[in-house]
Amino acid sequence: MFSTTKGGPRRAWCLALVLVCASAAVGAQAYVKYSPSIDLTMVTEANDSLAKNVIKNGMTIDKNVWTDLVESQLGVKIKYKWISKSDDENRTKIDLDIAAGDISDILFVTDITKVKQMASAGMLADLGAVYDKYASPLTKKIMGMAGKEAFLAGTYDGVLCGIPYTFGGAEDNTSPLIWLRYDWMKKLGLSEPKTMAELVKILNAFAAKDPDGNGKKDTVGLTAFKDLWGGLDGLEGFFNGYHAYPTIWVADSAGKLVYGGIQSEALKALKGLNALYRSGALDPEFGIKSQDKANELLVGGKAGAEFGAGWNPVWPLFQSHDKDNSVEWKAFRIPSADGKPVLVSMGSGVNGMYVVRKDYKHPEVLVQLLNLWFDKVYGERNEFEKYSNPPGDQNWEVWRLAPVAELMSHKNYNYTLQIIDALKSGDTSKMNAEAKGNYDRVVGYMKRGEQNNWSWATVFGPGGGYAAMKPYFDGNCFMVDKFVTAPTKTMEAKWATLTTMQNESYIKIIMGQGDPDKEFAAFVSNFKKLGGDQIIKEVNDWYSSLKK
Amino acid sequence: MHMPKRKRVSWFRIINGAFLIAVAIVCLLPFVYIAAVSFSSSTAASAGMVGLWPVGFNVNSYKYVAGRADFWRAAYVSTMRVLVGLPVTMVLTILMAYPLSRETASFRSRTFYVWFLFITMLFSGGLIPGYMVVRSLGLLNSFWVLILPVAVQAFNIVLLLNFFRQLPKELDEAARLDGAGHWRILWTIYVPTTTPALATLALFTFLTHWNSWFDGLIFMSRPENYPLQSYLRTILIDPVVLQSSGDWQVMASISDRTVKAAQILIAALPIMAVYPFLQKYFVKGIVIGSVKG
Amino acid sequence: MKATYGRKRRARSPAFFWRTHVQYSRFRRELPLHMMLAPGVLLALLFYYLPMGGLFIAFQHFIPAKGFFGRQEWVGLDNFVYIFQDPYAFRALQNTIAIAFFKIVTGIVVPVFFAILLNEIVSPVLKKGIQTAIYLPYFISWVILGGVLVDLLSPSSGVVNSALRILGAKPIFFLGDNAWFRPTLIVSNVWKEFGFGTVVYLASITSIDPGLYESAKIDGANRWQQVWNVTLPGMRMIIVLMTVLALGNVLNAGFDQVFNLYSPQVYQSGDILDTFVYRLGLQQSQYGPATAVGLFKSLVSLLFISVSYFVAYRCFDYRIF
Repeated sequence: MFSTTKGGPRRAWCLALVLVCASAAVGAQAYVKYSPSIDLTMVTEANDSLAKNVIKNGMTIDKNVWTDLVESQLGVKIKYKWISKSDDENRTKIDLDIAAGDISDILFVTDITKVKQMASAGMLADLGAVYDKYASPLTKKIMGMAGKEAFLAGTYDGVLCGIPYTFGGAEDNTSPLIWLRYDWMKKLGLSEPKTMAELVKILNAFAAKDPDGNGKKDTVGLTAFKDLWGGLDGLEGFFNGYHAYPTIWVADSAGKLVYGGIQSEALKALKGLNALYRSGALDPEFGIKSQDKANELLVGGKAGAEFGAGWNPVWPLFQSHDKDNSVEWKAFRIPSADGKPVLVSMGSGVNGMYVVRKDYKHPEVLVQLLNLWFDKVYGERNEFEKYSNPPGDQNWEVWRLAPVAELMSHKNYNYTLQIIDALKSGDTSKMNAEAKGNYDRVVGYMKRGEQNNWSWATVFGPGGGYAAMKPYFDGNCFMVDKFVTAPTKTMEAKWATLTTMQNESYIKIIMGQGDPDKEFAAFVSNFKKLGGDQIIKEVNDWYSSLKK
Repeated sequence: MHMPKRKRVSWFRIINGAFLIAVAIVCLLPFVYIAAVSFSSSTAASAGMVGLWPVGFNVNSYKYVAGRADFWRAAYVSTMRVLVGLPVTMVLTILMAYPLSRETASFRSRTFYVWFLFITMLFSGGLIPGYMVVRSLGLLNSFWVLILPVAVQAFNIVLLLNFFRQLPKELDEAARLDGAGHWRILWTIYVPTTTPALATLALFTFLTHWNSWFDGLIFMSRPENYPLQSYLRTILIDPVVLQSSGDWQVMASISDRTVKAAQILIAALPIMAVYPFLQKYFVKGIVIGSVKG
Repeated sequence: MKATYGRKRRARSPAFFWRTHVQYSRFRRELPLHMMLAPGVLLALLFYYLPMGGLFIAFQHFIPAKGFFGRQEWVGLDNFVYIFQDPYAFRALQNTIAIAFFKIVTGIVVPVFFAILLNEIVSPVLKKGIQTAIYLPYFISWVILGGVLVDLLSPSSGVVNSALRILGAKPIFFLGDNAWFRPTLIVSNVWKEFGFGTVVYLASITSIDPGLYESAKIDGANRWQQVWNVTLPGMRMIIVLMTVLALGNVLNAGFDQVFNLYSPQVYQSGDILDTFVYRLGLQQSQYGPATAVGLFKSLVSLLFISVSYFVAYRCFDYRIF
């Protein structure tokens, strides 16, 4: 039936037959198997951690449980054209492939601009129809959880060119929590900050009241670093307390999009930071430090606070606990500066796209790989332990070998909820192996005092980072970035200069160089003049085209 | 002949010596620091607590590196690269410097060649054209891509041709009277008498090969084929990049400063060993003197 | 007689035969030289000249997706305009020239100075040791040195400022103060690279005929007079050469170093052309402007080297190439 000699129309007819049979089978997972097997070229990034932790037990990138699965279930042979070892290299090699006109059959890019460029150059296959037709109900359900903005990011001129890649949670890239040295707070008799003023008091106390008890005034309250934003040592959280969203696009009262970085609320927050700088509560050298350098203060016990995300204890905070087991960190919600509820800013959660080369004969393979992934990892009859996280070794993340992977949105937060429930009820039956592994570690610390599991308990446990996020999720207190597509034409040319200007001005104001009002006004006016106005217009053009 | 007199110890010699030793120590300090970090505990290193002495002494990072096959494979690639690349480049440099050191009178195309070489020092097409050329020559992912594109170094050639020019004309004339052609003159006279210059160039070439990381990164399709510095570059990643992909578990395992320090130190050892090895060629111009006599 | 006969018969002058003979034997004499150059020339053609053809990207709005040979949009000088009308471009250019100038000057003077001093060391062990030590810093990457310097120069906890405090001076925020950032760049760069240049100068000193020193000593010259009259002139050629070559780098103020040491606070004095271009989103593949800047730098280097070549020729009667 599946003859190789004719190919073409005959093959398509056979495929159609298979499909009809498959869709007739109710409830069963329908895969289209290609026989004879087809080739699929891909490229991938295998950083050092992968090389160390995942490539073992006879598995290599070219041959492992996933490649075998894909071949046996789908009849697809994966061939890796090249393998890179770091992000920089990956981007450059993809650029070179693009320039040479020779991209792999399925390609994963983190830079959405490239997707837009490839789409307009006609290099990509149309995935819309293919997705609708081949995506399994489970796939559609989980991908739908990311919101329709995710798919918007991959749509150009009405054509879906890229399947979005959502990794875990957008809340991990920004700083919605304030991590505080809890043992210092107890020592100085301070309690949970319910208002911004109380938080400022705590930060000042950390700097002035010698919390490490060594008789020297060698501590600061808050750390930050020269690039200002991110999921560790970031400052978005502080701004959010003043209802400022300095890094994203938000809708104003008239329904138009504005850039948070030039709004007057941002100035209020900057003045607040300036006050911290003057009182010594903010590390005076933050402006020249890389993030790695800033962390030294946290690890070395010289700083007591940083704005970050739920995962921070895993790195670097655990090192401070390692040194001295009495060190305790606790995460708190961002307190409000004026009593009105705080919304925390968040990106769209799309961290990349899967695209298919235009002339590749089987674009549906991408969707099939997605189906395979969801089925084996999250589905009803999943084989989580074989294909995702084998038990025992937390670092042996087999899922990283999958050609196409998607993590459930807010994965870690969901695990935390399960773990907290299980701690109360003792029932761990509903957890998958990864969650169970985390649960065991939390229990290890909480019940048996295993210090090396402190970081897991502080991330996933009842008093930990993700637990502190619960009020946000319950009340949907998120301000999500509304601009979710590739940069506009003027953004491509000017955005880097404008954000540089923003960083420069912000740091100047924080450090008190010049009059803050004048400095900020000058910044806003320059921003608009040097392309900002044009960009705001383009962004709104795109935004209104969505509503139609 | 110069008669060595019994001198009283010269003040100048003492001060000079002391000054230079002090400078040398300042230059060594960062290596001492890196070494100290490599022998310290990971936490102390991340807390910035390590100065010039290890804190929490241990050899874990070295044990770890010793077990990383990737690291040693990359070291092997780099070694092969030097063993092949050094002779290739040196020979090419010598072959090109000699004709260019001739007078224009005896070599009329000299000016043309000089400009030809000179332009290569200044103008470059950039990454993409370079990559396209390598690709069309079929050199992607091959060992020779580490050798051939960098075999011709205009800077070295210009340096050597100047050293060649410094040799006295009488040597040339004497050899020519003996009926020697260019090849013989080059290999029997020029090369042996410019050993300091050649040693310098050998050093530079060795260093270029040992330290270059970009070509290995771009032109190799598999990390197994990376030379050492390319490999190191990929582990010195800025954690911020990883963070934005939410990959905090990876960050935790990559950020170990002590391991990075150990790898850097090991990679620097050949460099430290090479110079003393080449020292014996930097001899005061005895050779010129003997030829003259 | 024969020649006369030949002249009548074939109307060819003896000069013709002579010239052909000369040309032929000249060719035979020069042939080995051409052959020596051949392999290098071939490699240079392949790996330098062929890619140079890609310079046309500087005049295109280059989108990698359209392909290298694809139909890219020709924009003439637009890329150059784009770079230079950016408000920070001029600042970057100024910084680049200022920083590069001082780096070039210190990059010659300091190694020459050390080479001379090192030459005076008698003990071969000490000499070897010092030589090895001083050229090592060249090999530490700025990624690491950056972190080290932040600590060393920290106003609150750094060694340098502690020393300043003891001497009664106010602490200086070296890496955060626009007045101090450039000197910090230059001093740290000298420290890192002087060992390398010293090697070259030392090699040139050892090539100086010892007989010249002997004659000078017989004439009663002391150590400094020897340096002035024998050593320096003997090195003159190499110094001039190295200077001219360094001038070719007049717009390379050192991306690696600046990138790892700078921060928004000191963009004003420290942002150079390369870091500026880097931030313009070259990670986002703006190859047109990047190539344009590269081309601009090359042209300026060409100008500087040509000018200094002629100066060296006219003033020092020395042809570098």
